[in-house]
Amino acid sequence: MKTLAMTAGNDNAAIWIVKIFDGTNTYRFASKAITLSSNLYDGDALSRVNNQNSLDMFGRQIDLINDGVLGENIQVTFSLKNNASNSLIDGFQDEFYPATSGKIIIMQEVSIGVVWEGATTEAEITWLENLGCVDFSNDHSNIYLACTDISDKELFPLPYYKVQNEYDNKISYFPNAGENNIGALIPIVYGDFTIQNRAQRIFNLSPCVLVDPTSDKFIIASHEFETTSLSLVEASQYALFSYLDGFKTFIRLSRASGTSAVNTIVHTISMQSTGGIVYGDIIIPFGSSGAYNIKTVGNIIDQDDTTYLQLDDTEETDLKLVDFDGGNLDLYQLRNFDAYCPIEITFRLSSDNANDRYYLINYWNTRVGADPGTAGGNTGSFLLNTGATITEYNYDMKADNTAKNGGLPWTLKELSEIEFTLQNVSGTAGQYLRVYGGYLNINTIQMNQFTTVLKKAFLFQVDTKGNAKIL
Amino acid sequence: MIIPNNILQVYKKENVYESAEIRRAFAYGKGRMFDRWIDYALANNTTRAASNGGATDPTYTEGDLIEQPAYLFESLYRDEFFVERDLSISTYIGTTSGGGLYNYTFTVNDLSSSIDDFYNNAIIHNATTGKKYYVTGFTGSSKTIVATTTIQDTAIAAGDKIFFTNIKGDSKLDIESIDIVGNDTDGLRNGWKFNRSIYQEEDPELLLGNLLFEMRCMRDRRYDKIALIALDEEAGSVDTWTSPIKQRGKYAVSCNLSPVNNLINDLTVNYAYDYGKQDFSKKLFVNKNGYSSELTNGATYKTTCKSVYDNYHKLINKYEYNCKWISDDATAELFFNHLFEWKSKQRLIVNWMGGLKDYIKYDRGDQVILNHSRIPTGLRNVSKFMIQSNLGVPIPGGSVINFKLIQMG
Repeated sequence: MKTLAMTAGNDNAAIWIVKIFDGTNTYRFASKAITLSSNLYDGDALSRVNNQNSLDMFGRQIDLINDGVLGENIQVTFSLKNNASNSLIDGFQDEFYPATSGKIIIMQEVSIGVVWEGATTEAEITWLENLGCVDFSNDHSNIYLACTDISDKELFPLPYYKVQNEYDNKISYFPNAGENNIGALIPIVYGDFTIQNRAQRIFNLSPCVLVDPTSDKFIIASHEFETTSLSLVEASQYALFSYLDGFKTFIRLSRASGTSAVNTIVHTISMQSTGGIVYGDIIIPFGSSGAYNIKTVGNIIDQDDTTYLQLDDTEETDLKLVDFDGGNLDLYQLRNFDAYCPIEITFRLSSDNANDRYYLINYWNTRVGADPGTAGGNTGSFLLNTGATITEYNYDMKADNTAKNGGLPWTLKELSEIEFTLQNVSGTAGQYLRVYGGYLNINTIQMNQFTTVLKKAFLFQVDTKGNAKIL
Repeated sequence: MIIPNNILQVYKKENVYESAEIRRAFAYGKGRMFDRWIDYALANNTTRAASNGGATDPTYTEGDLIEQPAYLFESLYRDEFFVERDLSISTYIGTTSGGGLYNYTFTVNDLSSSIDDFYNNAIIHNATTGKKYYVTGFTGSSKTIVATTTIQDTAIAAGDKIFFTNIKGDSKLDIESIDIVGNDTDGLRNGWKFNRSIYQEEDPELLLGNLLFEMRCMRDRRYDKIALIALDEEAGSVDTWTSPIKQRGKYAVSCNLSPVNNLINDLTVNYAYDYGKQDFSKKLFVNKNGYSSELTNGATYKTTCKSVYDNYHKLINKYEYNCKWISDDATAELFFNHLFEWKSKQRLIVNWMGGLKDYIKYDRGDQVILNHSRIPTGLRNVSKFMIQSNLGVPIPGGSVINFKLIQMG
């Protein structure tokens, strides 16, 4: 609700005010002459049409019924007498033609307000609209000014910045950006992009643009990121993810010596220094029951810590991975040049009370040996000693070829076909094990391509006496 | 065999790691922070609290994450629209210091305005040095800026690449209205959390429109300020209208209902957009047959859907909405509830004509009670109505305003 600058009495009429400011001159018009704060508002300049003010309307509308939330632009017209005795607008059409030496009325500020008879100061004007003149025309007797809301002209498509290699403005200039990314929009990011559940494949991550392939440098935003989140990023070395269409999930990227973030004016992350390798790790959740499973696995594959499958002593559950197509993760990327990539069969477990339990995580390959298949090489029992607290336990099968066709390392195709097992081996009936979720975690996947090249070292020449000289 | 005098090239083997060629990468982190405007205002050169009228002051400070939608709205204007970019310091004149402040004087020839003090309280971002300054003075004729900061910038020099944000932000935004919606004590949208990466080109009105729709608010222009108004029924007391003007001896008031086509009884809201798989991860729904288990009001809404079906001759109107700004579960449910309650009933639309003197003070977004015989008994002098239109005609001696109001609650 407006606070009116002046309270209207019972017998004083409203006077409509139009004020135009062209950057230099202020034009003051009114439906009836009035002097406010020693400024005369010309009552004889506004035209009348059919015995009414030429000022045709005020106010606005928003179509809430049809989900309008922005409001419609107002279009207001009024006219000035072409022969008004006002030195500022005398010969108006000659003053404001669109030429370099004429005054400019287009896009200049037009204010519309109301005041009541008896007012003496400009502070008593209740201003209603702040518009801009967008057009004028004239006939033999009037100049017609069309006004509308020009504040929208301040708005422009976002994002503003695009990756470019022509002008160093310290924000969007990236001379090493690939051709495909020149012109790519640099994002504007609001809110929290740290919430995720990798086992449930729920991710909320912010798209980046590769701006330097030689260092795997990405720009995340054309502004700084919230600084406390950087400690999460850099401490854990996990800042970037890449989306794998075949897996319908993200692979988390890291570098042995950590990522480096720049968070001044813009936010960028670099993954690679000279000789650095970018590693990835991926979580592939269990998605269905194994062929010989007798338990209902819905409370495991929902990956929800509020639901679980309870196993009594000797009971076992068998699970398979969700369907995936590993085609776009090339084999070479599974090759770690120090050791095979860890392949951790992981379950989230607890006991049904605070007491210890014993479990066995293994795998079962139905394609090896006689039907129904062959178990993996993990034997014995392992202690779950965290009581009722849900904790992750895993078995790394990377070097276990007990139930594998052919030599190591495992391939994605093989992993997609085998079953992963968890058995309660606590030794006494009634000692329950709770299974909340599980997945396969393959990590230290090398994302870079490693090649051996020959590089020039030096030139040398041997003279006729057999002396070698380095050139 | 080495031939004398021939020049030989020696090579060595070297391992080279080529780029990982990560073509589609996504970042983990928290986005834009509040700038100084959240706890500083131009009007009296002091805290925002002194300039936001009767609204409760937000406790956010510079450096906090912006995820409250009302302040997201404000940030888009201050940090993205009220800007001048791609500038540089033309002439660096000098630095003075005192009282813990550093004052920099320099010219920026490419600034668009020549009006003195036009840029006061704007924020200057020096992309070359990484520092920020706050404008305290501007001489239009010479394009000379005086800016201040508490952290010294020893590297500032002519040629530095700079850009301005928050140009006249304090005078163009109705801070009180934004704080009424967004403050973190009793704000009408307190607890709502939005997030979004704007990474594809967006029309600004569409961008703002989606944001406003998902925070269940509207934008109104009130003279020279932009106001934010929640589409909630006013909790406190409001004025009562009793006397529309008469035209040709008859009261100028009429009523109709919102269209049946706008009435829904099958609502689905998709949210938590995954930028990688380019699809939504979660959804909420309700119809006459069921509802999402996450919905606290699911059973009640299901009954409402069935009632609409029964009362409107087996009507089924489906409405599905894809959220661009909402990933948070709690916020999604708040949005769902508001949207369903807004759209699951026909609302009375009232056309009311009033005289200038008594009605000029009412703005779009204001709410009133209508006490007139033309209003149905169950709503008369009880229900609150929001003004969505106040178009007037300045008639000499008898200006009138045509209001259109929509039933709330």
